[in-house]
Amino acid sequence: MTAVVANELSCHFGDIPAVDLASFRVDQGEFVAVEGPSGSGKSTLLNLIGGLEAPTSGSVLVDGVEIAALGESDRAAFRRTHVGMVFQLYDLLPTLNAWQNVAVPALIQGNRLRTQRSRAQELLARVGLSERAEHRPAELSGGEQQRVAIARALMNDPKLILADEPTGALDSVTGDEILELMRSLCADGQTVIMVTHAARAAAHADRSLQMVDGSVVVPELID
Amino acid sequence: MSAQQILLGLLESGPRHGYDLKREYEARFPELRPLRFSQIYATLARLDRDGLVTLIGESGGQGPDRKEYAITDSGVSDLETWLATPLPADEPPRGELFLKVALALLSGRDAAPLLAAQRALHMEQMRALTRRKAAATSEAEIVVSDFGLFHLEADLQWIEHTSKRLSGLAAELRR
Repeated sequence: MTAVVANELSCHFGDIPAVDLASFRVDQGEFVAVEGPSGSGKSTLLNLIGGLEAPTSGSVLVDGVEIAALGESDRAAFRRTHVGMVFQLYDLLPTLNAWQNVAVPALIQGNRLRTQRSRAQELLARVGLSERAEHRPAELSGGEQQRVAIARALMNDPKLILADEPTGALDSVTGDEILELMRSLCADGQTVIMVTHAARAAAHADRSLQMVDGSVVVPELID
Repeated sequence: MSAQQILLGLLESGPRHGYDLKREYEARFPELRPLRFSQIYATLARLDRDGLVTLIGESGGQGPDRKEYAITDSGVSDLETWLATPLPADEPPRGELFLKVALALLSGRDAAPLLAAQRALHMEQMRALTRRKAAATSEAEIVVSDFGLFHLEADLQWIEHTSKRLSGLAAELRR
């Protein structure tokens, strides 16, 4: 099953083509790295897939839906239920503990915090952090904070996880653990698209889309 | 590093004597291991026998350096195949990759496709090592995988940097 299809997708900022005629597809359950140097358009591509940026031309379908064609509130709703985001610096709320941070996407959906505790605890167990549920971000290591962020991304059971340099702030051993965790999510059927400039991080993925100056130039094919 | 490809690469721009080939090679690639005269003359004789170069003249005097050689069509085709073929990513002879890039540029070819092919092979090898490391049952296996991964990563950084410098490098080499 196809999770994401981009067809001649472009996004120009003024005269600058941040993404230029990118065409590719990603299957459900794949772990795909988007590689390229700074300024090559990787993050813009991720934002286009996540509906945070609108294409100048071309299209991108996530789970068969063209996000750009949706109105703003429908697009936000679609994003909340279909896409989970993981960032380089975790972006956890400092005043909430680990399980409360995990539950945040469900709160935005209108649920009450106390009804979400068991689901959040289950996800913390999935990322290997059962014992740290009551700890606040400041009491957690970088790797643990990123695990919380991954659990949070899974809270609304999205089919697609978008990760922007998820190991960029971690040492290489901890980074490996986070990447293998993401790989194990894919083994369970989750789709993960990860932006990275590090080849060693990209090597954890099934394949890479290589970006140079906004173009996907070396679409390495999977066997 | 292959003396055969070095000589073919240098001969492509015009016929030379063995002595000229040695001098030009050392002037262009001072950072690479020098070629011995005996190695050059033996290689030229073999290339002649295999039809990759041809003897076009013998000047006066004695010794092998009387002979002037030119590259043949088969020689160009042999060179082209070598230039376009990425190196095995498991044990890449790193100086040879630079030589391929330099000789491609020296002859007015584009080195970018070679670098892209090398990059793809390196990534394939890195994915294989990463899988091996993830399935490792001993620290030794992890450490050995990491040794390969860090070296391949360094190669990839070199490939990325070199890709951005191809036009400058080409201009410098053709000077």
